[in-house]
Amino acid sequence: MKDADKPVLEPRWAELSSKKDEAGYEAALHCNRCGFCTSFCPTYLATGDEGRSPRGRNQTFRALLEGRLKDPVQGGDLFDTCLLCGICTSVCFAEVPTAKLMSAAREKVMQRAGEPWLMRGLLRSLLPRPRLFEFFLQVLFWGKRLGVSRALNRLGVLGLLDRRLAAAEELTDSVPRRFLRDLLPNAPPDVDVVQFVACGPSYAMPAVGEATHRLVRAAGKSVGRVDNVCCGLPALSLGDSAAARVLAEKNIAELEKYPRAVVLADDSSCAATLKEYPSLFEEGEWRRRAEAVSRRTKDLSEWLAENRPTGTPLPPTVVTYHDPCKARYGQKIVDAPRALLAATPGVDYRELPEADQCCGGGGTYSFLQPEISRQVLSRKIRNIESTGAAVVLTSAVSCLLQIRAGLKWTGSRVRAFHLSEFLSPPPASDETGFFGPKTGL
Amino acid sequence: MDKSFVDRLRRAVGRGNVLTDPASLLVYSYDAATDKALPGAVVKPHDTNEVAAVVRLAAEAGVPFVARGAGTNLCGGSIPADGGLVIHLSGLNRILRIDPIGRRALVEAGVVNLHLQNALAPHGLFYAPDPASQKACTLGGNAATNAGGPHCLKYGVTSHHVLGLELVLPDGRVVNTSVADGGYDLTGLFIGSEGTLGIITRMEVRLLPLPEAVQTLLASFPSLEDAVRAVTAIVSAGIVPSTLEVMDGVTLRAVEAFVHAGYPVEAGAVLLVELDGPAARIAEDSARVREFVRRNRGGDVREARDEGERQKLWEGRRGSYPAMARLAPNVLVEDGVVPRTRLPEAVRRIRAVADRENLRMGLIAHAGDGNLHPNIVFDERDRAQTERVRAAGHEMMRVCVELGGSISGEHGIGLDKREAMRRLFTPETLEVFRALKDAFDPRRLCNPDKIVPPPAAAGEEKSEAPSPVDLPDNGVLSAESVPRVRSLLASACAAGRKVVLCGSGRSAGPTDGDVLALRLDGLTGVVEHDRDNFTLTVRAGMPLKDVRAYLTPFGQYLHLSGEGTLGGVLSSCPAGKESVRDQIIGLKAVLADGRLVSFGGKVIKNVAGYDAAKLFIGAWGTLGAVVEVTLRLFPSPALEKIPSAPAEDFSWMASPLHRRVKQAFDPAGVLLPPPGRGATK
Repeated sequence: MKDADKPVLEPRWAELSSKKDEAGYEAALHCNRCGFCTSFCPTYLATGDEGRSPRGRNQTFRALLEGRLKDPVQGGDLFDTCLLCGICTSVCFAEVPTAKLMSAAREKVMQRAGEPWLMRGLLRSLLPRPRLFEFFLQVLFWGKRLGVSRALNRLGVLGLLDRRLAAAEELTDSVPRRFLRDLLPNAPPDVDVVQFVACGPSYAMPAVGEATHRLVRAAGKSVGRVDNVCCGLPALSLGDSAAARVLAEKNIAELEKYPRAVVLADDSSCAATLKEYPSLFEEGEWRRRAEAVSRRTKDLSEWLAENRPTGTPLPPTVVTYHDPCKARYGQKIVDAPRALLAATPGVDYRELPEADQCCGGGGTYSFLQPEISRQVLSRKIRNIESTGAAVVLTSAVSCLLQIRAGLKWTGSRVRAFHLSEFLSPPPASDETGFFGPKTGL
Repeated sequence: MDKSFVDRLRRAVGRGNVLTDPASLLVYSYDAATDKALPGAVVKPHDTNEVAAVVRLAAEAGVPFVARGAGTNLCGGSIPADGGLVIHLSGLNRILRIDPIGRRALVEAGVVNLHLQNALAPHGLFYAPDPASQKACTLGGNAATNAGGPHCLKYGVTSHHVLGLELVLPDGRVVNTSVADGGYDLTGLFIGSEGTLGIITRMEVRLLPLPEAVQTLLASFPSLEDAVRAVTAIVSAGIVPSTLEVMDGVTLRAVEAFVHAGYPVEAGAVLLVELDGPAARIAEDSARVREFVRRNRGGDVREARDEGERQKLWEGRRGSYPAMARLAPNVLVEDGVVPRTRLPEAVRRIRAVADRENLRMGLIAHAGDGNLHPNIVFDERDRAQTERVRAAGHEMMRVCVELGGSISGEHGIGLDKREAMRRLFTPETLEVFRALKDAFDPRRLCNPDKIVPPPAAAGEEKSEAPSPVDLPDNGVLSAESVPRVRSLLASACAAGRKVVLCGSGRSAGPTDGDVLALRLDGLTGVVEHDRDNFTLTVRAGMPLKDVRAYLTPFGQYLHLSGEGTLGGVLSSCPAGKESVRDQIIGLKAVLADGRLVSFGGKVIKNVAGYDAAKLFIGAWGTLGAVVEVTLRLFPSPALEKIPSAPAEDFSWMASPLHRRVKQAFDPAGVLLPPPGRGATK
C-alpha cells in the first residue's frame, strides 16, 4: 500500500469567530489524549466505549470546531451521554473542563437541529414563571396519584410514546400535594439565612425543605424562603445558556433584596449553579452582581459543618454518605459532610467505596439516558450494600431519587435520606413530609 | 467499509458492538501519541470467542485489524495505520480467578491495571508492573508493550510476571502458551510484540506478597546530574530499592503546581527513593541511602510519615507527564535507556539537544534502570516547532544508542520509532524480525506497519559474507572465533548438511551419518564487565564455573545453575527456563546460514523489537549458535538452591507454533537438536 492510500488524518486547526468558541477550543486543545480520565468516567466504566469517555468527548468537540466532523448532530450521542459529573476534570492534570465543553457542544447541536419545542417551552416559558410551572406540575401529579401514568406505563403506552417517559414514570415514586413555596414562610428583610427554594425538594420532597428550615432555626438563626425561580441548571445542562441567563438574572435580583443574608441551598445542584453564576456573564455589571451572590451562597453540608446541629442524640446507626457530583466536583466539598457525620452522636460512619463516582441521576439524565443511567446506578447500589450501612445520606434530591429507585428495584433494606431529613429535629406537629422519618430515622 | 462485511461483524458480536458512525470512528483514530488514522469500523467483542470470530472474518476478508486496550500508548502502537478494524478489548474486563495460595491470577486482557491491584490488596498481594498510566491502562496493553514502571527496578518488567497467555492468532485460531512449556519461549516472544503477532485475550500473572514495610524518601539536589550520581552510588553499593526516580526542576515545578505534594520547587532535581521489605533491613538501607545523598551534594531528605504523604509523593511522580501538559497543548514523551552509569552523560547531551532546538523540556528518569523520559512541550499548531520536536526526539534516541542503550525502555516502538530501529539493529537482525512477523502473520493484517521498518529502498549495507570452508564428511568440528562459526555454518547450509550445536560436546553424543557436530567451547572470555551497571558480556563457550569464578572477587553473582558452557546452560536450561529467562538481557547468535544477528542489548529495560533473545533459551541450539551473551548480575548469591527441571522430551518441535519460529530462523532446517533427543525433522 502506498502511503497516500493510508487513512492518516492530517493535522487541521479551527478558525473561529466567537470568543466563546475560542475559549472552548483552547481548553479542548489542552487534552493531550493521555487517557488517564477514562477509567474514572462513569459512562466509560458502564459502556467501555471511547465515545463515552471524557477524552473521546473532548476530541469530538475539538473535531467539530476543526470542521473534521461535518455536522454537530453526528456527535450528539457522545455529548448527550455525558453525566456532566466533572470527575474527569478532577483527575486531569490539564484540568480540561469537559462538562462545560459538553454543555457548549450541546448548544451547538441545538443550534443546528433546533431545540425541541417541548424543551424550549419548558426552559423559556415555564421555568421563569414558577406559579404557572407549579400549576402544570399539579395537573401531572394528579395523573400520577390517580394511577393514570402507571396504568399507561403498564400498558406500554408511555414506552411506545417515548422510552424516556416510561423511565420517568418508574423513577417517581410518589408526588407531593403541596409545594415548598406554600409550606415555608417568606424571609423578612433582615434575616440571617435565606433558603433558596430548590426545585428538587420543592416538587419531589418538600419534607427536605421543611427539615432544612427546622435545622437552621435549631441552630439559632433566623430563616425564611426567597421568591426564586429555578436556578437554571437544567437549561445549562441541555445547552440553552440564554435561558439559563434569564433565570440567573431573576434570581440575582431577588437575592439582592437580602444583601447580608447567607444564601442557603439544600440541594447541592442548585448551590453549585448559584456559585457558578459569574461564569454565565461577560465582564460587566451582571458579572459583578453574580459574584456578590455567589460569594454568599452555601451548600447545606458546608453550612452544617460550620453550624453543627445540636439536639437529642440519634439511635446508633451505621451511616454512609454519597457525594453529589455538584458538591464534590461542582463545589469541591468533600470533607464537610464527613466531618459533620463523624461528629454526630449515634452515627457510625462508613466511607462508601467509589464515593467519587456519580450515581447516574444527573437531573434529567436518569430518564433521558435510562440505559447508561441504570448501569451506573447498579454499581452505586452494590457499593452502598457493601458498606453494611443501614442508611445512606446525600445532599441532592436528584441523587436521592435515583438511589431510592435503585434500592427499591434491588429490594435493598438500606434506606436513603437527605442530610436535612436525617439530622433535623422532628417537626412540632405529627405532620411529616412524604418520606420524612418521624424520629430522625 | 464493505457493508456485507460489517453485517457479518454485527452477527458475530451483536449490532450495538460494531460502530461505524463518523464520530465513533474519529474517537478510535488516536492514542496518546501524535499520529492519527481513521479505522473503517470499530468492534467491541466481549470474550475470546468473539475476538476470534472477528479476527477470522477480518482474515477472510483481508481487512487489517488492530487490538486496542485503553489507548494510552505513547508511540502510535494502537492506531489503525492501515485503516481496517479497531478491536477494542474494554469488554474483556473480568478478573477470572485470584489464587492467593499459588499467588497467581487469571485475568482478561481488558482489565485495568489498577482494578487488579485493588482486587488483590485484600489478599495482601500485588502485581508488580505499575506503569505511570496504571489507573487507565489495561493488562493486555501492558503485556503487548512489556510495560515497566517505577517499581521494576526491584521487581522486573511485565515479562517477568506473566506466566502464560491466551492469544488469538492472526488467522483467528486461539492458542495458549505458558512459560513452563518446553521449547521456544513463545510467551516471551508475544510479550512486547505490540499486538503484531496476535491478540492477547487472557493472561495468567504472578502475584507478590505486599512488603512488610515501605519507606519513601524524597531527596533534593542542586542538579539532575548530582541526583543521577547518587543513584549510581546507591545501586553500585548493592542496595536494591524498589524505586529510584529522578525528576528535574522543570518537571517538579510543573507537578507541584497541580499536586501540592510539598516538592521543593527551588531544587534543581529530586530523587524519589522507595525501600521495601523487612523493617530492620529498611532502616539499615535507609541510613546508607541518606549517606549517598549527602555525599552527592544532596540537601534535605524528606520521609513520608504516613500512607497519605506517600501517595502524595507518588501522585507527583505519576503526574509528571500530564503535569507538563498544563504548560502547553502537547507533550512528546520520549523513552530512551542507557546503561545506568552513562546517565549523567546522557542527561547532559539530551539537554544540549533541547537547548539547541530552543525547546522546553522536563526530564524524568527511572534512574535505577537507566530509563530516561524527556518530556518536550509544544503546540502542534506550530508546524515548524512540531517538526523540530520530532527531530529532537530522534536525536535524543541517537544519543542513547551511542551510549550503548536503546530507543525504548518501556513504551514501545509502534509507528513513531520504526525508522530509529535501523540505528539499533543490523539489517540481518531486522530481517529476522520480518521473518518472525511473516511466520505468524503472513498476510500482514495484524497491526501492520508497526515495530519493524520496511527494507530500506536503497538497499542495506550488510556485513561481509562469511568465507566458505571445506567440511569433513562427518565428525565434530570446533570453532574459536565468530567468523569461523559463520563460515562453518554458512558452508554447511550451502552444502545441504545438517548440524548439531554443542558446548563442550557432552550432550552431542555420536552423530548419525553425515550430520556434523559443532563445538562452541572455543569461544571464551569476558567481552565487557560493567561493574557499576551490574552487567556482564561474555562469549558463550565460557564454562559457567569460570564465569562464576571471574565474578566472585567483585562480589557479583549469577543466579544460574548447571554444568558446562554458559551457552550450553542457556540452550538446555537444566534448571528450567524460568530460572534463566530473566537474566539474559542480550545475545549474539550465528544463524544456520551464517548471518550474525544480535538481540537485546546491555540495558536492563529494553522493549525495542521482538524479544527474540528469549527464544534461544531452552532451544537446544535449533535456532542458531549463541556466540555472546549479556547477563544481568546480582549483588548477592541466589537465596534458594535452584532445583533441577525434569528431563524434557522434544515433542514441542513438532507443534505448529514452534515450527513457525523455526521457519523464521532456519528455514532450511540445518540445525538439529542433540541426537537421541527427539525428532530430527
